[in-house]
Amino acid sequence: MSVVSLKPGYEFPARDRAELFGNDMLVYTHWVGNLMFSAAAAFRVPQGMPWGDFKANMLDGLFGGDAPAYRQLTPENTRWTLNDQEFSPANDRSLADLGITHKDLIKFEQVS
Amino acid sequence: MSASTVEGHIAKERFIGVDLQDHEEARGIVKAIVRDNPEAKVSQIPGVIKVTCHHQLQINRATVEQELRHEWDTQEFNMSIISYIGDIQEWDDDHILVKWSTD
Amino acid sequence: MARKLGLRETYAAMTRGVNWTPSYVKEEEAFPYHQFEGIKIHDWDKWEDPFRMTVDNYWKYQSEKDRRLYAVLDSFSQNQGHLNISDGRYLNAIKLFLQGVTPLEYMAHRHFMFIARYMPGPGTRMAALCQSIDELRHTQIEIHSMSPYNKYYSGFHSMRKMHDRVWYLSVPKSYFDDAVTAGPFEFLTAISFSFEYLLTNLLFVPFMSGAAYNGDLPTTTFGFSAQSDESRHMTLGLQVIKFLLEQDEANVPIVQRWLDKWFWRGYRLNSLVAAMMDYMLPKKVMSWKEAFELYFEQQMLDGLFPDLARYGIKPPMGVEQAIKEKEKISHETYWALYNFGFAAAFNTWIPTNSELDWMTEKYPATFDRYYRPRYEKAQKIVDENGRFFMLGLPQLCQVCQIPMIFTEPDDPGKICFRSSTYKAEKYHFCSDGCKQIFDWEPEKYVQSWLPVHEIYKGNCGGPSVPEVLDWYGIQPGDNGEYQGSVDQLNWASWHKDFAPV
Repeated sequence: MSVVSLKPGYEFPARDRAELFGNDMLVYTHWVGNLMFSAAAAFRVPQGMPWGDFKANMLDGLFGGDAPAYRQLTPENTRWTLNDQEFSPANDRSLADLGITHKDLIKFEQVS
Repeated sequence: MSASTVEGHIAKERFIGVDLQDHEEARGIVKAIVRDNPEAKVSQIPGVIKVTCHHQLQINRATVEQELRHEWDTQEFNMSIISYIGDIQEWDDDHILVKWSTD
Repeated sequence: MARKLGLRETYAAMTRGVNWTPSYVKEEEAFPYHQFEGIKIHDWDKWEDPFRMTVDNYWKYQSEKDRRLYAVLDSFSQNQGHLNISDGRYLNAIKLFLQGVTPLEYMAHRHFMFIARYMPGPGTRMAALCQSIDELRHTQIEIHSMSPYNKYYSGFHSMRKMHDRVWYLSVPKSYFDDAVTAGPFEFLTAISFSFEYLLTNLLFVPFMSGAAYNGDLPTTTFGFSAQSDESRHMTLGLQVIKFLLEQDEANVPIVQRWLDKWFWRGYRLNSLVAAMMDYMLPKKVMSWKEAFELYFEQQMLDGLFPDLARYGIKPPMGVEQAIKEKEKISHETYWALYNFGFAAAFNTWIPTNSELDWMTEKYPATFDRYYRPRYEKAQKIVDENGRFFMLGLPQLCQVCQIPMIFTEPDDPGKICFRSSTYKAEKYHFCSDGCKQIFDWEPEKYVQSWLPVHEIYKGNCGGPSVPEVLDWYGIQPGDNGEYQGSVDQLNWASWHKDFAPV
């Protein structure tokens, strides 16, 4: 039997739906294995922003807060995932081109 | 699944009890509880007196009055109680009874 | 002369005896809200109130409680009592209480008045009426008790505004909003049973005992004054559950589902209490883990649940995870408060060495391996004249609204991420429990007012941190590091003539 009792027609638009952000979107980024940062960070970013700008303007500033650890990261020793799937960012491609959509979760970790 | 088989939980003794403010009147009530419930265990954290029993805890107006040396209405227990554990099964003019329904 | 009525007879005369059946309107017009949740009640007279509180006794004892409290508050102010607390850091726990809990007391007042009007049973209405007035009293005595601190310390000035706006306060606010927007029986299961009976001891007893131990006379006094009412509220909670389960077997699965939901919601809310207990009390009464083992595992799992098993009720969803998390949640929560302390209306700090050792002793399985290294790293940054903050905004859980800080149940090194897609939108959760609650009622939680997203939508005063803090009502000094803060400098100067302790 049903244990949820909603009035028929109880339906509201999602409060943070993609269309409210226009050409921007929300993206979350988490540094796996470095819990100096207690949670993934949330960003509002233009869909057309090149990955290189996203990294330089957003990620570097925030995660550079743990400078000694962040300095050890190189393109070679960093593994990226997008929604837990393998992911290869390229600096000149836009976030949208790379397949990143609203409320996606990007993770990175040092693998060697 | 019963409570005792919750994964990671080590079941301990089941008890009932009352948590009282550490003040003059409550100390008299605690003395009365200990007199009427010989198995009662009394412990303390700052500001709080905890009295626990295994099966039931009964507070009798007559005993409390002897300890406090004045008349005591069982409703005055409201001025001392902070919390309790168990189910208040009876509260009338002469006594208050705390126990679980299954034992 | 007529015989004086006994307690039992007085109660019957003054609750059921003054009830009447409406004749000008139909029963369902007078009481329109108690059926749509699917709960079946056959006999409202089976409702028991063991406290047998009647109006005349209620006024008598409540006014006596208030007289005692206000005598203490006057004395406290007259004697510069604020100088006698254990340490200036302590008051940050009280700021969190005032901002997070006091406004909930007011919400409880409002909704119990609704229950007192709309439940058909007179016993239920009387209990709810008393509780509604209690909750208003709690709001008032908490504000009055904490206001003497507002003259001398930061962070006490705008609790009502902050409660509606500040990110970490959306955790308690959304919890209560979830409850008052449910039907009346779900509300009673949520607040009276899951919160007041199952979990309240974790909040109030250690908090008030902590206040007593740290020399905070006003908080101890209002706390115990309020707790004496809470015992009555606990009884209401247990009565509601037993009454629903005894009235009709069809109520059992509905109650079980509410219990599953509201245990997890209340438990997640308590992570703020866990952080407060382990980190904000300079003199510590017990650890979160010890409190959880005593007040939840021993008193509820071993004590209460065997009583409920005969109705077919099982311990709630997520209990196993909560047991695993007792080693972790205070540390993970406080670390998040330390991370984002630039945007909080209280101060945070690195625990002293002896406090870190206390945590090692209390949390031998996790503290040195997972949590102490973070404080050592943060201390190194302090030694180089810095302060470690996470200078951004965190991802939040769609249901509990806590930043996604909790780790996998079996791995304190790995953040737990869960998600669902509903009508082509993605939603993120901190735990299986929060995901399950969303999946049961997505229509409700797609409406969550998530503070981080609201900032990014431009609804919180502007895009920069100072603009958001201003909109929050946070003034300079309320937030950030304790060492070197206004409160710490004042505390040091007020105590410079005291003998060293």
